[in-house]
Amino acid sequence: MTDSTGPFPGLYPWGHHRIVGEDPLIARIGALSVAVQVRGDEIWVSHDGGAPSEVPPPHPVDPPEWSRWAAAVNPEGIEILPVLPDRPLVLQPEKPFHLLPGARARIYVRVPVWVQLRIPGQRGIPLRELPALILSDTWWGDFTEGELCYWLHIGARRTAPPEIFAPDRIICPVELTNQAREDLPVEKILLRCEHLTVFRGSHSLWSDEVLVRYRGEEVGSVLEMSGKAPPEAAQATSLAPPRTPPARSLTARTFARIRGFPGIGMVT
Amino acid sequence: MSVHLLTLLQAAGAIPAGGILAPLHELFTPEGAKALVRAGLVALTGLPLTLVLSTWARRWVGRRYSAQQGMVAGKAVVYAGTVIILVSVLQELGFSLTPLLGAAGILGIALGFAAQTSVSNVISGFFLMAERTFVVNDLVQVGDTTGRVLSIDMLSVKLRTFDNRFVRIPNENLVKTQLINLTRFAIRRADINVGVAYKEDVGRVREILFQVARDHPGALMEPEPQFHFLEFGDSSLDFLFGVWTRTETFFQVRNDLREEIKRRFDEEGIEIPFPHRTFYTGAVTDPFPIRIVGDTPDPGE
Repeated sequence: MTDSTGPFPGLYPWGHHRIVGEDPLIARIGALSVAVQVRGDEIWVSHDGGAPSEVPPPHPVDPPEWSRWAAAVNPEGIEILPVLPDRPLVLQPEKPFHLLPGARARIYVRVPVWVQLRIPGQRGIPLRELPALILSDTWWGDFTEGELCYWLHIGARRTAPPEIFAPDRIICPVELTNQAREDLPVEKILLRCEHLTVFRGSHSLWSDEVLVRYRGEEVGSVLEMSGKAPPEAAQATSLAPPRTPPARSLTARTFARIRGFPGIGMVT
Repeated sequence: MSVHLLTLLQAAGAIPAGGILAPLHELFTPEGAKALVRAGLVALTGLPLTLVLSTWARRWVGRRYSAQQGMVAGKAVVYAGTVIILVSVLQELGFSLTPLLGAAGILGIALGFAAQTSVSNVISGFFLMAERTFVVNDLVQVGDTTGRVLSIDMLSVKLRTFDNRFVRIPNENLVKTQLINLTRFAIRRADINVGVAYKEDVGRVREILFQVARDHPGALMEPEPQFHFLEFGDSSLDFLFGVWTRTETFFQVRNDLREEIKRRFDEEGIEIPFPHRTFYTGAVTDPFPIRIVGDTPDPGE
């Protein structure tokens, strides 16, 4: 049996893994545990965990619930990639702060990683994507129009000390600039992570930095994704491309005040 | 009535003086046979062509706009094509169109009286399509019927209910009555009625309910769940707990939350009461008098 805590280089099980014989490869990423087995021309995958409790489950699960895929040619192993969630994230700082006109703040967001499984050499649709931590759904918009997102409480840290690094988190630097003449209460931020690339640093996974320029409540914000490793991990190498390639810059509603959310109709 | 109608049609010139079957007699001449072949060719090529065009229009419009608009486009092609083929065939067979059109006006009045309901349904159908209150695949509730819209046709709307029954509702009824579209918006609120015993701490109950919602990934964090103290009921304190969910997972999330609320209340020792009835003995403090009957002699005897 191959275990991710042993033979994988560094902290992470990311990359190609050869699976020999019927012994399953077992990878643990935070609370998530994944077992992969090759049986002839089939790949068998079983997983457990990912619940909000963040307690690593015992593995293999008894009895394991396997999903099977038949491949065109006998697979020799599996490729495990870290990707960002498949929907935007609504970030709520535990301690909301205000950004005064002209001020700039760089915060570090720890985004729970999604584990993507692929058959090496066969691009296209991945076999499966598994969140290391299951996030709650939330809605960004009003009652008639909007978009479905995930909800994430964040510390909105202004620095990135090593203690925030974890194998199941991607550090995303977000730089906020208030170009409006009004005060900007940072109570909720929409992070469009589908446009971000994942990089592998020496001690952590990183995404490219997001630059948000707030220009006023009516005008919206301009978002820019750098597309390259952030300065904090300049030597980091690209691991997973963005789900949706970003435009050079986007204009979008990025901030919301908690009190500004439309009211909920009273029950009669 | 039919005699008057024939007279009117003859006066309008729609029917030849020799009678309604007069052009048919000419079909048995050599020229008539040629006309019959030509008419047959028009019908044999026109009808498949119309069907092909209809399918293409339904797919093309459906891909670019919506399934419903595709369906409407397909039907429009079928109707238009059928009318053109019919007119062409009649012309080939020697019927003059000018008097036929005149007769059509008179026939229209006659048919209008005879088919008021159908005409009303057709016009209502146009209103329904223009208003776009619902489209194909929406989940709608009309009166006691809830089902998914299969098609919006000229005369009626067809639904498939959850238990797989086919329901036809005339368009006119839909225009007149209240219709609820359950899938118009992407999010819905699942309302759950909760009753707890009078002895329970309302704050604790509220805290548990919000925790249950927070722990379910399908319950939206925003808009936030709602907690309403509805009333002091006969046997319980009654609350309404409203949790927002995605419309597509509404039923699943509501079921899950009900199960989880019951489980958490049991775990926390919170009583969900059933109706209680207190018998009044005639005085506020006196116990309920009991008299044992049977073999034991009454001490008072």
